[in-house]
Amino acid sequence: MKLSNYLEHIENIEIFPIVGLVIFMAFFVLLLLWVFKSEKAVMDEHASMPFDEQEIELQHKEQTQNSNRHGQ
Amino acid sequence: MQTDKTNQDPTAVANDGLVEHFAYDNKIVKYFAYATIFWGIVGMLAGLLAALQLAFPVFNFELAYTSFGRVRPVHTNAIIFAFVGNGIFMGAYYSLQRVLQTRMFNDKLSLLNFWGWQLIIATAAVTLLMGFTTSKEYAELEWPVDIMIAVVWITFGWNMLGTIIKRRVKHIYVAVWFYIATWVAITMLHVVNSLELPVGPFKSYSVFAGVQDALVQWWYGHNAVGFFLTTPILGLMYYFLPKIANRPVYSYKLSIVHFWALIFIYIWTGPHHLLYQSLPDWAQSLGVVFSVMLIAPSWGGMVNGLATLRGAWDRVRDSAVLKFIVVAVTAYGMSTFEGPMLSIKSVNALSHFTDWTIAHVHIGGMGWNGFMIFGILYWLIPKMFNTNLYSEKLASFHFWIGTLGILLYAVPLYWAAFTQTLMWKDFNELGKLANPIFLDTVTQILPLYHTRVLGGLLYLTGAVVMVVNIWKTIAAGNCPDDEPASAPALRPLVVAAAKAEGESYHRFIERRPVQFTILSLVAVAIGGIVEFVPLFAIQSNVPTIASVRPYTPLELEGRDVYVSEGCNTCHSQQVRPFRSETERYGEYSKAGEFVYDHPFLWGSKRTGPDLARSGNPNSLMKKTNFWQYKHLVNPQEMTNGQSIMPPYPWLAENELDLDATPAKIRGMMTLGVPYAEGYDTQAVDDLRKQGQEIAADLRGQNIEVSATSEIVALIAYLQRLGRDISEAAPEAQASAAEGQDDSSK
Ligand code: HEC
Repeated sequence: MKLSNYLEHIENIEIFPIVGLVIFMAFFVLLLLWVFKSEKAVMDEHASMPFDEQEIELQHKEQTQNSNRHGQ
Repeated sequence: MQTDKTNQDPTAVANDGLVEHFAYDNKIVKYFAYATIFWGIVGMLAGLLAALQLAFPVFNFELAYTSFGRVRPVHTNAIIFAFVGNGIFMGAYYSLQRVLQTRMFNDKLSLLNFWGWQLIIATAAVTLLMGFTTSKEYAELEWPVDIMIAVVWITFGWNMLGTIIKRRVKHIYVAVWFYIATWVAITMLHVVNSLELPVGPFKSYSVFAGVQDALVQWWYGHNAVGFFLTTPILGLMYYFLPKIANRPVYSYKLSIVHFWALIFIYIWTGPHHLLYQSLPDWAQSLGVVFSVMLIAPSWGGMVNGLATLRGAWDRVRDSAVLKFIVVAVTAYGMSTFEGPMLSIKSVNALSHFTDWTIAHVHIGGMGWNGFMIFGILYWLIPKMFNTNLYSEKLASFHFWIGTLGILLYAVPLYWAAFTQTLMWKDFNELGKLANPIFLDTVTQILPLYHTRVLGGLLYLTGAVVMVVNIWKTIAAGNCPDDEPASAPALRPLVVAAAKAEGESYHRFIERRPVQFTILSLVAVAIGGIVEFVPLFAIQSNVPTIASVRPYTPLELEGRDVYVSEGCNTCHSQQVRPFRSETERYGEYSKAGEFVYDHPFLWGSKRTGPDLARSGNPNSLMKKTNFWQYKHLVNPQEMTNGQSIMPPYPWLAENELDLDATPAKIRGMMTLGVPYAEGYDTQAVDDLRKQGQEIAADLRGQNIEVSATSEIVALIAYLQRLGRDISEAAPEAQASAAEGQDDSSK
């Protein structure tokens, strides 16, 4: 039942937390790079997924109306 | 800033021209909605009762089933798993079908998920009130229920993955990522933290002991908050908030960063529940660093939510739904700011063990989770029932009374926490504790406990008003079980195809649900592994103490009574290394003291004083058997009617189940506790002997009590707490100490 008996002798195990932090940072930087390089059109397309086509058209109309109103 | 919306059908890429007709399963969503409302009321009632008990102990009704130590876990479990849990399923089952443009994978699995979950909740309520508990917060349920949870949770995952695989759209919308991560993380957390050795039909011992058990528990405990009360609700936010505002999410890019950063960081933060406690420093520091980092993705998510409402602000004034959502997202921001602050060691030194934590979780629970679910219900029910909300005015009333309820609940508790922690730490000119009597610090904050009851009552009132409103809405409308829908078919080839030329890996992963699931598992597993492996592997992390010996059978039984009555809901067993604590309680707690504690019982809240030194002759906490007996049977009598500890008169009448004792000893031996070979056969005799000594001592004070009653066992346990470290390592008692020889080197 004692897992520790087997792991006791891993050398330099204290370095684990540092390794973890480094993995996280590397992953995070790559993620940021990738995300900010992604195309806006694709992102917008994904963002519109909760909506039906009619809803998207409606939003579009509302937005043009709004911008017209603001333009006046 | 407006996004340039494309009018393009998101599925168009994969459209082969064939439109398919199918139906969304609304019946299952409706079921979960009803269950959410029902258990919400039950959970809040249990909370109100618990609050009343802390203000007026008569509400414990002098009954085991209704005493605070058992009611409190019923409240927390009902709110987390029954109210919020059903709310998550409701929202997930609704949104999964819509964003994936398909019916759920399998109706039978959906129903199994629903009825299985309700059965678990009912079983949980009954078993917790009967005192079957592991004592681990939010994982109190005993092993048979743990197995039921695993089965139903896997049913949900299977159903969800099946739905994702048969979807009609290419990309998997971000809300679904949050559901997947929730499923992966909760599976992992539940399995690891429920590793326990059954020693009876509803009794088990954690396979971990002491420090290691504490670390596993709070790794679980904090991530129950992270992956049950946060990620799935964020999934709901990313679907319902755009729908309600009729605006796509402010920044999809931000949502991707939010997702990965959040799930990666969350899993590391557990140790912030154990600061200044018997945990190695490096583990504490790791917890602090990641907890502070957590603020970034959390606030990214909040900003994304609030910014989605841009342009809809003018509607907030007349829409109760939007009001609920705005306050919910703001409460998310507040609690995710406060959380990292509470993880800073110097703040934690003040806040931990006080009502601050309670206030903090209620901002999250009542504000973020509760209001999110109310908002979604008010929007979803009329939509599904093809009608208007019965009364917008009543919904608005619910919003205002609910908000007032949160304030009246939280503000007094912050105040109470400040007052009490300063009183605990106050020294007078002579360098002595200014408030040596713990109860004085309780009496001081009692009026605030009364106000808190009022806050809870207002919040509950709002919820009851909602029940009426929803009821009337449902009566006026009609919700067909199946809602017809149509979408272009997605050629399976497109989904399965290898990574296309020039396509990024993330984009590729995004449409491969199984690979995505595995990647999220890796992200959440790294934190756990990094925390656990060193702690379990390196002996120097838990220095053993030679004089610490296993509990006697009577003490072990007493410990089980302590767990069963939930004494740990009010009492800690962990003296932190502050002068204010060592003066009050005695020597600070060391990791090596807990090596036989399956499970650990450090507690998280000091409604009563710490008990780690109750049996230590050098501590002011040490009391006689007689005092302990009188106090347990009637704490009020011993404190001029001031104590808020529940009375436990039944402990003097209830007999221990001695038939179960040998199995418990054997179980402990399996877990590595060094009782002598074959000790299980001798245990009951030893138990009786020790019990008779205590009973004889009490008889000398005119108290007649059975030597094998629960109260005698509990007193034996209390008298043992902290005693070992007051004794020099006895050479003569080598028989008991020998078993741990490998660790004492
Ligand atoms: C509702 C919270 C609550 C619960 C549950 C509770 N206690 Fe207490 N306990 C208190 C408070 C408050 C005090 C301080 C006032 C007093 O002495 O009664 C206290 C005091 C004590 C003391 C005296 C400590 C000292 O030396 O001054 C002991 C021992 C104790 N409790 C044991 C228990 C045990 C054992 C259980 C479970 C059977 C339990 N308590 C359950 C709140 C609680």
